Amino acid sequence: MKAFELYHNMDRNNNIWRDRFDQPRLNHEDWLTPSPDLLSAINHAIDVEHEERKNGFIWWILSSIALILLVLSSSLFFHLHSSHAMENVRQSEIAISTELQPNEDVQITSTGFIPTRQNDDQNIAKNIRPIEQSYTASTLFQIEKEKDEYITQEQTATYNNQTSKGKKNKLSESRNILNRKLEEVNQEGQDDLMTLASRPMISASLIDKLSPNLISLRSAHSPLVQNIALLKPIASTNLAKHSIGMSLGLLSTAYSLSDHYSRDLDPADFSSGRGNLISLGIQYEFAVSSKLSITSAVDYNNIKSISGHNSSINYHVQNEENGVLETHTDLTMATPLGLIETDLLLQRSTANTGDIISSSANVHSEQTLHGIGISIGLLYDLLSFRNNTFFVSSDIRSNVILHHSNQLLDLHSNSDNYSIASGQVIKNQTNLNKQYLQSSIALGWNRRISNSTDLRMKYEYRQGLSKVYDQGDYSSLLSAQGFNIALVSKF
Amino acid sequence: MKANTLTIKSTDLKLISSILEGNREAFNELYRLYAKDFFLTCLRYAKNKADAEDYLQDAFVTLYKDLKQFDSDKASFRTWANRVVVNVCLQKVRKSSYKVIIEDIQNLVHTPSVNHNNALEQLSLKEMTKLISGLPSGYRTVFNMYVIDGFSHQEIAEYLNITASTSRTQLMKAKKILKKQMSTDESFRAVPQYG
Repeated sequence: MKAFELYHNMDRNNNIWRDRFDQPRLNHEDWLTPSPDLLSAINHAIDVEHEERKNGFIWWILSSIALILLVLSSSLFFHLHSSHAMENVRQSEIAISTELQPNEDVQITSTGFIPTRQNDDQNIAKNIRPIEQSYTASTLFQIEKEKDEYITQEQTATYNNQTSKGKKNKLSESRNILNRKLEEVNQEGQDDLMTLASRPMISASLIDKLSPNLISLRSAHSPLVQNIALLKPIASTNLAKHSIGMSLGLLSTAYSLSDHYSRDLDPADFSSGRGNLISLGIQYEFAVSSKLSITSAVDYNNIKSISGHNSSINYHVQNEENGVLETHTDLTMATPLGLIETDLLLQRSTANTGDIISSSANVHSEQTLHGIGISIGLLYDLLSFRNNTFFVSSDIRSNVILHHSNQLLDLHSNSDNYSIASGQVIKNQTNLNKQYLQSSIALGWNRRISNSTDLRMKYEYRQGLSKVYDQGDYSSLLSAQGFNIALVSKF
Repeated sequence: MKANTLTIKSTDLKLISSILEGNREAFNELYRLYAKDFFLTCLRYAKNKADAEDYLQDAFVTLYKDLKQFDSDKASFRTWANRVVVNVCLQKVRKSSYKVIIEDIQNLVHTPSVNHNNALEQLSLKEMTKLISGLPSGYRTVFNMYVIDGFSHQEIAEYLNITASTSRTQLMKAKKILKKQMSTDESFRAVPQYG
């Protein structure tokens, strides 16, 4: 038969080709030997690639650190810049007080009051309550500002002393600076601006300096006080907008198996205990209002959990080699993250002579997941008093599994005739999702330990949103709950 | 045979487990076990032995990287790994600017051919490999993918960015060329040597 005639039967010929090339282990075909240098070239290529990947990871970490440092340094710059400006303000304040000479009377005479207020003639000094200097200085100039407006609109201002006009101009300049820096002034740590704004306050130090000269604001104080009371608190603009911190999390974890999975494992008395999660990370917050912040965090986490079941293991005596009373057996073990293949070394006692020794064994394994978690969420301050704040927070986490492994623990045979000497995992879990999502909700307490540093503690619950392991009807979700503590620096 | 297969599977799994733990010697052992199998695959797709070795190197590096994805429940290691090797070969073929062939049929006139008295079934693996290697690269790729590696014409079309009907045409032409090679008087045994 001519060769080309073979092609008349296409399928048959296809099968011939396919079968001929589908032979396993072609070790006898010497003509198929690749170059002897090829293996070392492959190993070299793997090393190079591994090095590049490692370098890539290092660059990623360094870039992240650089970004954080950039944000920190720029914030620090603005903060220092503001402090410098504030110092100028203080200098202006001193200059104002020193320029005012003794016995220079600054008087404002009102001629057009609203009648109902005319009899409400009090000395504004009665309302002066000495409080922190930084606060009152700005408020004084708020009073001045209100006074100017009042003068312009409703009053005729008379200055008995010509020089007071010049001083007024200086005051205006200083006032502008002060107004711009009002945020920093208030940020020094006063409580409730609304309460403070409702009562007139003047710098104690400034009053001390000016009191010999000042101030006869006759009949002018009533509308002034009223206007001050209407001042809006500047709380929303004087918050530390950014904060960054380090956090440590200690949580208890639990896997929840899909119905099919837990039902199928039930006959083997499968159990999956709680595990533990340790995380270390960096968090960043941006205050969008006095009570609400957007939060974001990156952390490295390590999760360990233990599972186990009861399994039937047969010792086959005929598999012993060289008269040694031991044999290997393969065992498929169930874990919350799928099945793993193990190789167990069984050793029997000399007393037994049967062909097969049947028994059950309790086998446990420990699953470890290493990963990076990235979260974004919201934090809301519920209640504040003194330096304490209670808050709730909620976020969405994306967890990336960097590495997972299994280790055999507690291999205990229930038979007196053989024991499990050792075991190793020969096939790890597969079909793990490299990325899984969780949502979390937390209740926490924030303690201010300095003007710029907070200690924050929260109890959080994380619920798995997407499956860690997913294979057909078998799947599992990972949830966790526990404490997270963080040291937060505001700027 | 079944016991042998099980032994192979068990050995493979142990080696793979060791490799995943970072044991490079286990990887070298895996290479020694499968280098010839996969080199044969590379030879089918490559133009020559040097290219085939280049393909094989990339294939083993890819296998090392992707070993974590291997699932012994779905396929044997050999089956899975061979598919990885085929994919690497196809990427290489595409990179070397795959052209849907209207390739140089003239060259075929000079292609050494098989003794027509030899039936396909009587050809050795080496002779069959040589026959495939004698095909123009486009025809060779389609023939390998369809006949030996079990791709459908639709899959071939998607891989090679051609239409399914073009794939069928290429396959038919490849077979005609093979027929021609085998029916000529000259012996195809003169085709490029592999060692």
